Amino acid sequence: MADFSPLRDVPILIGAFFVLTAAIGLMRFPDLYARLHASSKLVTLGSAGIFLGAALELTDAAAFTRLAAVLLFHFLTTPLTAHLIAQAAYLRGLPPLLGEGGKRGLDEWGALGQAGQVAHADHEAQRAMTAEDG
Amino acid sequence: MIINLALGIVTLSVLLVTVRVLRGPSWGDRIMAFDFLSVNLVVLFALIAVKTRLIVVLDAALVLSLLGFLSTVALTRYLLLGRVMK
Repeated sequence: MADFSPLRDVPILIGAFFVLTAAIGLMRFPDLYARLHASSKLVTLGSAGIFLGAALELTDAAAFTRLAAVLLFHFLTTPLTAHLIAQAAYLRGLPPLLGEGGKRGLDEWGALGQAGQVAHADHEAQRAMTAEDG
Repeated sequence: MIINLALGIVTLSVLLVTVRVLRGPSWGDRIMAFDFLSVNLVVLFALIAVKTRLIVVLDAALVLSLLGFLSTVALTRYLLLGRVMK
């Protein structure tokens, strides 16, 4: 640790820790929706930490503007993509796992599952109508 | 040096996420892991820029983040609607 500078190294370490945590959550979580939670929440903080550390280390206006642009873009688009993927999975009829380890799945899925089937039918009808248009 | 440690950690994360892309049970898992992979690669590019002191690598990171978002939206629309554009 000859050249340990806290201003640079602490945000980078925090960011790397959160990125690794998100990857482990992506491997370990049982369900698409839980994995989506892990990836979308944690990668924002992880990339923010690493970009902050990189901007403080490079101390250059060109680097700072590029890193700020990438960070702003991530903050804007990560919730968007998470919402899109969850919406696509839900409208395609993927049931979420509920309860302890997904054991209570299908019973409690009942009401939710009916709502999902109604949404799926709506979606199919809308898709058929737009297919007739084009 | 801390940058090397962070590079190793992020590379390990990239490998784990690649396993999820290859193994993911549903197509939603694959798309989500692909999106996560693009964000991970942007972070890796930022760390490489810090290590090599090359600002040019940050331009590559910017383009890669734009492409990652666009490809995620296109893949999701293809999964949901069966087509990408009208």
